Amino acid sequence: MTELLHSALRTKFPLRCGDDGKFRVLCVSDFHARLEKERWDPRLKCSLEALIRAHQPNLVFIAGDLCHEEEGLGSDERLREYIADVMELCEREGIAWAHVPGNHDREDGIPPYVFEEFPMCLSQRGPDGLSGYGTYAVPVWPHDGSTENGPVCVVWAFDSHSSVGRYAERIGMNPGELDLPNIRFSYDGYDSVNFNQAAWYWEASQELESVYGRKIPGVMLMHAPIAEHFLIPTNPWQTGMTGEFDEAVGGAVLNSGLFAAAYERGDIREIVSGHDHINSISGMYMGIRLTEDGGLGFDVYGDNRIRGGRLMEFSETDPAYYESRHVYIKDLLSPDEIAGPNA
Amino acid sequence: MNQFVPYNKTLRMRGKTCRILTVGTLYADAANRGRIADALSVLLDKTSPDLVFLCGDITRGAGTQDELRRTLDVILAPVIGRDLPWAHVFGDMDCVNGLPNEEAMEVYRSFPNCMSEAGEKSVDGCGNYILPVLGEDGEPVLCLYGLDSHSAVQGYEADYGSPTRARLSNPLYGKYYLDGIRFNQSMFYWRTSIAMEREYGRKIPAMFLFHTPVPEMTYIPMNQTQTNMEGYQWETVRCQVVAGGLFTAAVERGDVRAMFAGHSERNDFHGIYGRILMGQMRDFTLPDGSFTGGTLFEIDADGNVGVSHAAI
Repeated sequence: MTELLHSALRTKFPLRCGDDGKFRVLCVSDFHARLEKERWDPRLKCSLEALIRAHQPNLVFIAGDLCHEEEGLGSDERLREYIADVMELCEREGIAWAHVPGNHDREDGIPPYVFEEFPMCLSQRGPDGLSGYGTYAVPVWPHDGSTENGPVCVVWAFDSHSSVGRYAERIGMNPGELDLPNIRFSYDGYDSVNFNQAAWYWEASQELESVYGRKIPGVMLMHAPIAEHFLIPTNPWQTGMTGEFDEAVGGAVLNSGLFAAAYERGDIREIVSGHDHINSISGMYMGIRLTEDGGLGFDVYGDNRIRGGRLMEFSETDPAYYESRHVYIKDLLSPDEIAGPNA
Repeated sequence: MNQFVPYNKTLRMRGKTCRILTVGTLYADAANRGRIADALSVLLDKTSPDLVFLCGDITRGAGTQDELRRTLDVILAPVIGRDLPWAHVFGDMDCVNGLPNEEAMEVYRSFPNCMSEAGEKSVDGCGNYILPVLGEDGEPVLCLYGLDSHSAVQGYEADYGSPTRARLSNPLYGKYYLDGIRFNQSMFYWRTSIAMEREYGRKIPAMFLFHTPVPEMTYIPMNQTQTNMEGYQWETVRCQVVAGGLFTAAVERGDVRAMFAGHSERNDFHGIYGRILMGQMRDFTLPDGSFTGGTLFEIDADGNVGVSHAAI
């Protein structure tokens, strides 16, 4: 096994399918907790726990914007306290969880070491040489722990960074150098997954296939959508769009070809992003599902009709099996619980 | 074959500069090939290039190798007669009349002074290769990439078994059914660029020539002031439908000085975006049968690329 693959498959503990042979990922995002305030809205924890209890995920994935920070996150201790509170159920009941940073988390990434202290957290900084903090793969193994046939599936996590200005700086240019007033589909100068991260996925995916003799199915999870997410609401009929579409897709200025990489490799079932809190759009383009998971947090704008997350399911006995759907807190909590004490 | 990067041939600079004359979309056939050869002769005398690059849509597609050979016999005569090296990439039309590009490549490579390569089989298409330009001291000055931008996007759908059409009513970039530089070809550049840097201990300046524009080329006429655009845009830039990431690969590696595509009857512009000189070159042959000219690139000893229009 090469160094590349070894690093791609290494996790703190092996993640396995449930005893039913299924593997479920619950992807939630955009908590936007304001750590400088006395406390974050308790409905976040209540909603997350309701989703976990109802859907029994084997992995809870937070697709960025855990915090809403304009001027730094404050102390590590405060962050620790926040994570310990929100992820209490996962930690107590031994449910694996992981995250990627979003554009509202600290620019240099929420300190990875704070996350690594939590025993059930599988987040990683990722291989050296990749831009950002948090581009990594989580392989999922059969429930009996066998490894000879390779992973059941792989969860690919990508740091989608913040702005195209910061992207320019990272590659040695001036912040304004890649920004343009007129581009095709983005309004806010966002960055997304960069080419070096797409190249890493490409090479790791190729090696997985060469080692195990088959394509290992997977999903890609990230905070900011890629450009192709924009195709779903602009072509709702042809992509079979479902879900709510209530704000512009915050697409990236540039396109690193991550979608083309996934399409050419043929092992990605779905690409899920957060970032646009009041969109829960999902549609198919060229055999890959493109989805925005809707915001869950209550310390920021959102929509109670779609607050929830994306639930994805793989099967260890059938590599072709894949199901995914939006799950709602409105199905789990009473209107009073959702409205909160200040309603 | 070189050990660390896939190339067989190099171009040696004579003096301090290297001049590359690019002509694209010749649409040569039995009827016009004699006139194309005459026009090309005029252009060669006027520009004295060190390399002639045919940037796709050289024919409207040939039916057989013999048919292609008869056409190339005529249009390459002024190039070979002057003992000039030449290279080419395929355009979206070169393969549409029965003769696949792989078989066409055999014909091209059977002519003298051909620098084109079929390229690695693991990379999509035919004609993905590098042609290093060496300085007088033999050190690489610029790495010229020829890339195959394929034909219609239906080919991309078929090659990877897309269950649905790539082209939607409201696409991100192009409405024109065009395939383009795919992700695995961007990886070919990415890996080659890394290997070159490892070999020489420095980044080697690079330049891409291919037929169908990449999406970022549309940003030049959309942002003419910011990109210092020169030239003119008469029609929509017809670029590929599904982005393959070539531009971001280039800016992240930071060694690409220029990338140019053709595939436009009348557009002829260039500008600078992400420190890369990018543009679209107009067709050599117009629908009325008249000829326009080509684009002349002048490369200096530091690998800087200058561009000018070369009218007949």
